[in-house]
Amino acid sequence: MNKLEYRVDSKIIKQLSLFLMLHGIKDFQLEFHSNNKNVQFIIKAKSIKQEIVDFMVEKIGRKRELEIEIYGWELMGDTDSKNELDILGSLIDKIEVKKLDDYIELTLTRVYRYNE
Amino acid sequence: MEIVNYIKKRMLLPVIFIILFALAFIFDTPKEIYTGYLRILQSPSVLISDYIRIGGLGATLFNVATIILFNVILLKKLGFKMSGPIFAGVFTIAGFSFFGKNIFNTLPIYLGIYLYAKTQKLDYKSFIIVVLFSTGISPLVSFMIFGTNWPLYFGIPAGIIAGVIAGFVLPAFSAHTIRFHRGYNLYNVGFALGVLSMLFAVILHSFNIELNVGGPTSEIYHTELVWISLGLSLIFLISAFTLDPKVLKKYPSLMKSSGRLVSDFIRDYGNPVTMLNVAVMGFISVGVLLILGLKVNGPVMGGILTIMGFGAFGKHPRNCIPVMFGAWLGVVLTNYSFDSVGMVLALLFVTAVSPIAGRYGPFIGIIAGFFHILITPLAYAFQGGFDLYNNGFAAGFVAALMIPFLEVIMKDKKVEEIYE
Repeated sequence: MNKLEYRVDSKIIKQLSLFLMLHGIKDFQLEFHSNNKNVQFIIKAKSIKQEIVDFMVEKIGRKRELEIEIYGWELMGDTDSKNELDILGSLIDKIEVKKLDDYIELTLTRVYRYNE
Repeated sequence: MEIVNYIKKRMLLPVIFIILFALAFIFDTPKEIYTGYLRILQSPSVLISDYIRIGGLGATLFNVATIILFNVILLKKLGFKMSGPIFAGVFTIAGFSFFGKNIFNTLPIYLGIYLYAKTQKLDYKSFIIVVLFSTGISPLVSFMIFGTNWPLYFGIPAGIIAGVIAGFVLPAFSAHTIRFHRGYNLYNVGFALGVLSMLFAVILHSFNIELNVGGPTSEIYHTELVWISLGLSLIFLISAFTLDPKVLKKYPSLMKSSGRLVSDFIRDYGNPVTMLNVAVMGFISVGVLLILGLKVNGPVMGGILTIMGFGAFGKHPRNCIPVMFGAWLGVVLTNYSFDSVGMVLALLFVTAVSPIAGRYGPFIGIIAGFFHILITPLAYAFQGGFDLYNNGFAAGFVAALMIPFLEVIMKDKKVEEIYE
């Protein structure tokens, strides 16, 4: 795996954690599952407002942009604003939301471009 | 209908190319364009070299058109759809083709980035933003060949190798510098190039090679350039309303954006709204110059086109007007003067720090614009003139100085009030 992919993954974790914390979510799990083809980030949170989930789906669910693969990802996780997910949205291929009994689960999938 | 779709998809770039290409042959004869173009290609091109003075208006427009054509073909070959960063990149290249870039001095830098992508086993396409903005250091190539008095058999390989080296180190370096100003300097690559330019300048200086400055500018085509700028803006305005008659209602949503890197107005707000913003930014740029009685020359025309391009990539009236006002204050309240072309350019390129106003409000934006004016001349002396994006170099310092402090003192007050 290219080192760049891992560096981007670590920034995504930082950005997601910061975003959730800035929205006052104090109790969440963030799972990281990686193989040679793709990576999944799974967020499980009990008290997360629907409007925040909708915002995340809107911003992260947009089409992946190749231009940002190199330029801009370093800015992730380095903001004090609650509403900045634009760069993250350019790096994630798919976001899925599941509403379970007492928590919401968001699965973000990113397909690796550089396997070597 | 197909033509409308094509124009929409390409954000009018083919139309702009045709207009500029045709204008070249209206202003000058083919022979004048040919001889002027040769003079442009052989110019050292260091900041500030007005290609209109060096080669004439026809040859300069020919240079701009060929650069646009080359990059549009490159983008098509790479399979890119139009996006905000790409549109800004092409317009920036076009703008700086009025004063420093030509097809000859840009290619070695593209090659350097290509080699970097290959060695890192990464896709060249991924570097497209860096590629489009990389040619800010293209005077390095021209200077080594035509500005050093070296024989061509030595100067040509030296210039090409220097350009390839600059291109090779730029992707990694620009990714690093973006953290320095945290995305609040829209000309991030300009900042990275400023540091590289400084390195090349000190190396040359250590071998007793004197760096020559660009020279005087030509204001004789002021009226023509104003009309060209207004005409291009009008084309974007008409296209915006043709594609979407209700575009004006959607425009305020774009202006809520802070403009911080990496924003993409085409993706977020669509082509018609972005076209309207491009037009408005063009009108504002020309309007400010005319109100202050400032003349348009090659470099200033480059500034207007760059601002229009960034109308798709972070700039809009709400975040630009405060920093421009701050820059104006910086000139009138200090011993600087608009008699200097550098100050006129700074008045336009101060919009590099427009995300500061977009994020922290107009008052902070005015302060940022004021500081930018103070730093810009020092930045030029520091980087030596190989970095055409001198204001991007200065803006990096302005943002890096202000943002850490602003984030600490304002995050729980004004920012949350404005954006929540």
